Amino acid sequence: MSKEKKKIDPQIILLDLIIVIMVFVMLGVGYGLYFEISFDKEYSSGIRDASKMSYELSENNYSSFIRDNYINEYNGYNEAVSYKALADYVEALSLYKVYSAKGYDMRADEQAKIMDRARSEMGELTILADKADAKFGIER
Amino acid sequence: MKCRYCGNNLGLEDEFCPHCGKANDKVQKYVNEIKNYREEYEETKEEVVKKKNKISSRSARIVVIAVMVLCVIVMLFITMNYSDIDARWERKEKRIEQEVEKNKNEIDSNLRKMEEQRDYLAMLYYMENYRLRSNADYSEYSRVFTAVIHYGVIHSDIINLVSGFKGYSMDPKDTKGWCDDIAIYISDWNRYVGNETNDSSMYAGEHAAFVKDIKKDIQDMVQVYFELTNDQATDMWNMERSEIAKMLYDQCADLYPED
Repeated sequence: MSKEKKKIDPQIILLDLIIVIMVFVMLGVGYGLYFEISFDKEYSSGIRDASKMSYELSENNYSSFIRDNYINEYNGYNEAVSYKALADYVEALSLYKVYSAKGYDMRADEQAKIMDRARSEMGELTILADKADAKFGIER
Repeated sequence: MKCRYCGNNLGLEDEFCPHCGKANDKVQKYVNEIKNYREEYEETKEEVVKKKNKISSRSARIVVIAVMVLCVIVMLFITMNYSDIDARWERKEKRIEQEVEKNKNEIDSNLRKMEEQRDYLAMLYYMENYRLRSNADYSEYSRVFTAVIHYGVIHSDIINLVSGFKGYSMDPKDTKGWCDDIAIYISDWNRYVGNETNDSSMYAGEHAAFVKDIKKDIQDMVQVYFELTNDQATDMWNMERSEIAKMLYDQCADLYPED
């Protein structure tokens, strides 16, 4: 029994090839669009999420860490609870050092209260609060 | 067709005459012809269907490609619109402007509260977040805003010194760099904030009290973090920038030793 070989139209093959290429082009362009929209959304909101705050911490950039905390607060972003607590802590710690050294007891107490509250909210980031204490030379 | 024996009518495929029962010797020829016709018809039909299918599958592919190209063009257009830095910046500024306009009363109230509570950093970043410094409605706060900027930069530089942060630039900032930065903002204070002889509203009332307090708090902060004497801390406001930088840097050797 002879098997008739099915003839494939070269035009169809070419069109299929173009479709496959177009699928990859669409995926590439789609990813680019997704990236731009996400970046625009993030840029527009000014929000700094936990991963970015974590990066700043890893670079010892506490000043930007504190700034981000305020910007997040003003833009209604309150998901990074433990990072917020740590930022509150570092800011209060930096002020506590000044007020306690200058003998401004009331102001120092206010900052100490903020530090205590922040410590109770920062979860496992407490270890970083201890590290900040050591850097600022504070022992309470 | 007629039976050649009895003359009655015969069907094309009748092998025997239904009337006289004699054999129809022409039937084979007709059967063969009909078979050929049928085969020819089937072949033609098949060919037409094949051609039709070929055309329709090609058209379908072309339509799919066209739709894909259109999608890519639309996506590229949107991507270009989103990636335009100027347009992005404008969108953001417009949004902030609208937000400030919409929540003006709340922003006014928050600003007053922050000023009363001497919440310097909160005020600095509030001002920054809502672009209040460039907003004519808040020109009365101009001196207060400049003061909080000075406070914020000095506070940040001190924290960077304490934490050992070197900055993100290719040329990392060392201890001297942070000291120079602080010296700039202390020496510039009188020029940009400290003009107390002016009698406009931005130099009076709560604003004046705020600026006086923030200056003292900057002085305390620098004194504590650099372990300056009272005289050094008080005199720094009238020193040259280079003198301030040197004084601060000299204190750093023991306090914030470099790696």
